[in-house]
Amino acid sequence: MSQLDDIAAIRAEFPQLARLIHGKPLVYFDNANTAQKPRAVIDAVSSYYTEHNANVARAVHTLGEEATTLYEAARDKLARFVGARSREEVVFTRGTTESINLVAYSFLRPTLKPGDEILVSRMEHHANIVPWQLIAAETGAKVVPAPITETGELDVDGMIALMNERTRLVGLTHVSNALGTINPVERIIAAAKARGVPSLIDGSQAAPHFRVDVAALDCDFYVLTGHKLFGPTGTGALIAKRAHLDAMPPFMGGGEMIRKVSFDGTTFNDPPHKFEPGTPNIAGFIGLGAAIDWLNAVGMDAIAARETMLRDRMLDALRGVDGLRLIGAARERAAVFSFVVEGAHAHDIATLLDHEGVAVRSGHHCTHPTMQFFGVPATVRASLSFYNTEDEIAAFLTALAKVRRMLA
Amino acid sequence: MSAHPSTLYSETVLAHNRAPHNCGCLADATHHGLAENALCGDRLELSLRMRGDTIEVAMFDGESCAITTACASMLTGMLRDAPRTTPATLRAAMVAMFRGDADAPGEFAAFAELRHHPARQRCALLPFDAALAAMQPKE
Repeated sequence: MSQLDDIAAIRAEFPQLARLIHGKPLVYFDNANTAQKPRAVIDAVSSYYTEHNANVARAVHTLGEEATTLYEAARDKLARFVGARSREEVVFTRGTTESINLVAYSFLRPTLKPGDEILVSRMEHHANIVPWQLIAAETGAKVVPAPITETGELDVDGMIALMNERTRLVGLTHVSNALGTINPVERIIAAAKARGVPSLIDGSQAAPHFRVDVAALDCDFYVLTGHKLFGPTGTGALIAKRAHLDAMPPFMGGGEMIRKVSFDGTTFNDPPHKFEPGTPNIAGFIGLGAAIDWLNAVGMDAIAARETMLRDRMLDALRGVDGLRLIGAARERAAVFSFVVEGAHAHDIATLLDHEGVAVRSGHHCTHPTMQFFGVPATVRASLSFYNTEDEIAAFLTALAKVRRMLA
Repeated sequence: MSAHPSTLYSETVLAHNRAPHNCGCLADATHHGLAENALCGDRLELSLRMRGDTIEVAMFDGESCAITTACASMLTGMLRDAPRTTPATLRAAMVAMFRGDADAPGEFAAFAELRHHPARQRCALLPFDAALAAMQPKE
C-alpha cells in the first residue's frame, strides 16, 4: 500500500491543483519547469513568518535559536535525502544555476589555464554551459561538447573518448530537461575519476523523480534546485566533496561566511557556511525541509513507480497522435516529453492548450544546442509528476486534438 | 490573468495563418531584414522593393507561429506603396494597443487580446522588427 493509491487525497494536498484555468480544471504538465507545492510546504513557510521569524546563526534570543534550528534541520534533511556523506557537504544556494556558478568560479577558474578543456554533453541546460563558457573566455580554456545520439541518448563512449589530459572538469545532467533522457551518470563519473578528472552532475530533474545517492555516485559535485523538488523558489544546493569545499576560496564575501574579520586579513568560516554569506532564504529552506519530509512520507520509490506508469501511458498516448514527432526516444527516460506537431507551432499549441486548462511549456527549454541538434527551433514539452493522473492524460489528448482542429 | 483565447486566435488571425498573403521571397527586393524571437527561435525575413522613400512591395518568409504569420501577412499588405515610416508608426500603434492606450488600425486590432498575453507580444512585433531591420543602413 502506498499513499499514492489514493491519488485524490494526494492531489488535495496541493492547493493549486484545484484551480480552474479559463473555467477548466487545471492539467499541470509543466513540472519540469517548476513543481506545485504541497500544503505542508506552504504552511512551513507561513509558520516561519508567523511564529519563528528571526535571523539565523547570529541571535542568541529564543526566536533566533528557533529559526536557526529549523533552517539547519533543512540541511540535515536534504543531506539524508540525497545521500550526502555529511551535512557539511551541503551548501545552500539559490538554485542549480548558482550552484554551478559557485563551482565554476571558486573551484575551477582559479587554476584554469589556456588550452584546458571543460567537457559537457550536448543535452545540457544553458546553466551547465554558460558559466563554463564565461570562465573559459577569461582564461583561454574551452568548452568541449560531448556527442548525443539521434535517440537523444548520451554517446557514452564518445564522451569518454573526449576525456584527455587537458580535461579539467566533466559536467553532465542526470536527467535531460528537454528530452527526458536519464543519463548513465555513474559510467561517466567512473571514467572521469579513473582519469583524475572531477565531475559535476546536474540533478535538477532527477531529485524530484527518483532516489538519488550522491555518496554512491561518488561525483565531486552534485547540484539541484528546490523549486522543482516541491519546495519554494530561490532554494537549491551544491553537494560537494569536503576536500574540495575546504580548498575552494569563498564565492561571495560578507557576513556569516567569516570567522574573524580585520583590515589585516579575514579568516573564513568552515564549509558550508564559508559559501553562504548574508542572510539566506530562511523561509525558503524551511519550506524545502518540509517538502523533503513530505516526499519521505510518501516514499521516493512509490513516486518513481507511479511516474513510470504515467510515463508509459503518456508515451503510448503521444505515439498514437498522427503528425506528432517526439523529440528524443531514450530507452531510459523520465515522464518528460518534447514534441513538435505538423502544421502547428509550439507557441500556438501551448497558448491554445492553456485555454483548455492544460499547462505545458513551449520554446527551447534553455537548451539551444539540443534544439539545434534535432533541427527544431522550439518544441512543446509536457512533463508529468506523480500527482498527475491518467484522466489528465486523456484530457490533454482531447485538448490537443481540439487545438489542432482549430489551427488546421 | 488572460481572457478567453478565441479572441486571440480569431477567425481573422486563423485565416491569415492558413493562407498568408505575400509569403515568399521577393525576387527583385532591394532590402532584406531579419528578426528573431529569442523565446522560441523563430526567424522571420522580410524583403522589400523600395523606390526612394516608398516601399513598393513587401514579402515575408520563415517558419513562425500563427500570431507572427498572421501579423506578417497583414503588415506586408499594409506596406504596398507605403511610405518608409509606416512600419515604425504601426509598431508604435501596436505597442500602445498592448499597453491599453489605443487601438491599432485596421486588421491589427485583431491582436488587441495580446495585451493579456505579454509573453506573446514579441510574436506580433517580429514582422515590424524585420521591416525596420531591412531599412537600417547597412555597414
